[in-house]
Amino acid sequence: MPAVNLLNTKTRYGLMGVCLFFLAWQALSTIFHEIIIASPADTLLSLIEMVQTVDFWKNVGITIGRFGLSLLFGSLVGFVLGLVAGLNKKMRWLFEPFRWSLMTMPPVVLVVVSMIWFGMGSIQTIFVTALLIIPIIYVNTIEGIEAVDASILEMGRVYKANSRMLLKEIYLPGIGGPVLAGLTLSAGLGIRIVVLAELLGAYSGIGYEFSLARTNLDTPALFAWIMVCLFLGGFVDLGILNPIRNHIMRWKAE
Amino acid sequence: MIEFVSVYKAFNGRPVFNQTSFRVQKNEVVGLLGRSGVGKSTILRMISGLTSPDSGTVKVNSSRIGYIFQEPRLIPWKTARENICFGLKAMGVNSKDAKDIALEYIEKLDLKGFENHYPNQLSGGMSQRVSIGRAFAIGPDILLMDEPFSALDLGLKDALLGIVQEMLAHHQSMTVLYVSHDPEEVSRLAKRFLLLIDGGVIQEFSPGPDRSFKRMLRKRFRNRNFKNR
Repeated sequence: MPAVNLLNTKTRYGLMGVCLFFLAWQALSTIFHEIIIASPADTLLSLIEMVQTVDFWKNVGITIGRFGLSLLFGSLVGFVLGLVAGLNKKMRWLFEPFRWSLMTMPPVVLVVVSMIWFGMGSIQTIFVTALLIIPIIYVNTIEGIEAVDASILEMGRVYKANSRMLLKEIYLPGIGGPVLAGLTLSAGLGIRIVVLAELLGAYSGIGYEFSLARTNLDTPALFAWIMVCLFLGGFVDLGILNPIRNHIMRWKAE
Repeated sequence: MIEFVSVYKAFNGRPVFNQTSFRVQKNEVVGLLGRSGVGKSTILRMISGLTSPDSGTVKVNSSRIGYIFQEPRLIPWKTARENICFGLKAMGVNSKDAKDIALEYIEKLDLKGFENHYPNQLSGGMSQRVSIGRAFAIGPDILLMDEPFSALDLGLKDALLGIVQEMLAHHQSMTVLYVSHDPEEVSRLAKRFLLLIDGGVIQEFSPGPDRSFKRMLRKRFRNRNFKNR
């Protein structure tokens, strides 16, 4: 019964937050000129117009593709390097300057550099986004390894479990939680970086549409694309990552 | 067979074992008593290979060591059955046979209906029963028990001791070293006793009539753990 109440409270407050967001948006749009802030109604109309065009779906598809590939490459590389560094302190010390550099460098600098290396288009977008996802997954994987219960590892050694079995049965499932948290962070960051990289260095995708809308001073379209980004982020988090998280972490349910 | 020959082991410069020697014969059930912090668990850790002596020899003639820890040490993301399977798979048993053996122990340990439960869905007693199952399922030739029931209430302790007694009766070719600071608990399983005192000195004795046995232990231990209960 308390869990149901908590869920209701959570949903209630969540809905109140959404209403507050739209109210604030509406209020600001009445204060400022429509070129500065488009109203929710204008944004919705613009969005309805946009979804009826082929270009909309083509650009959304391109961005999703770039985002998906970046998340895949960035996560894989970050995970493997995190495993290596988590299990071997010397490798961790070796990777530390790279991690620090990637986590400190402003994303826009990387976009500019990769535009010089790869030119405009998909490769630079995927490269920059994946590169910025790597340290997030890397750090979370190391944290996961460090959080693995030493007493369980000791039990595994007593029963003569070999390194492969320890990795498969104890380390990998044990780091699931932190890695999934890293994936959620990376997904949010990934969408932002892909759009930024497209805005500065691509001729297609949501970011490119942003730059077109800005050039044409089409603020409703600009806001409509912001809504598309929010939907995309929400879909990845709630529609994909959440079910995966619930499945992997099912052992935590009481 | 387990044999310690002139074992020396120090922690932070303080010798815990100094020329410690003792032997446990094959198929013997031996109780290892001693006050807290005297090094009882370290003996089990040296036997199981988790730690090594600084000098001296620890001889262990065994291919399969079962270990029941003070806390169940179950893998949280594995079900009760999968936790029992873990030890078997680590010993090279294939998945299907491991599953069959695990289910057999689930029944023996009265855990039927809970085989697919995760550790956080099991009570303390059930978790410890799973850990007993994991240790016995591999068919160990040496069984190490490190105060496995110390965190349980008296009723549960009694029930689990009964289960272990019954299982030991079915596995007679097993050398058992049972660590505890409770002589009553150990005397239900062990035939011979080793008392570990400071510096790794080991005194061997056999239990006499209940009262004199406890009185003698109290005298040797000089430890508050041994008040009459």
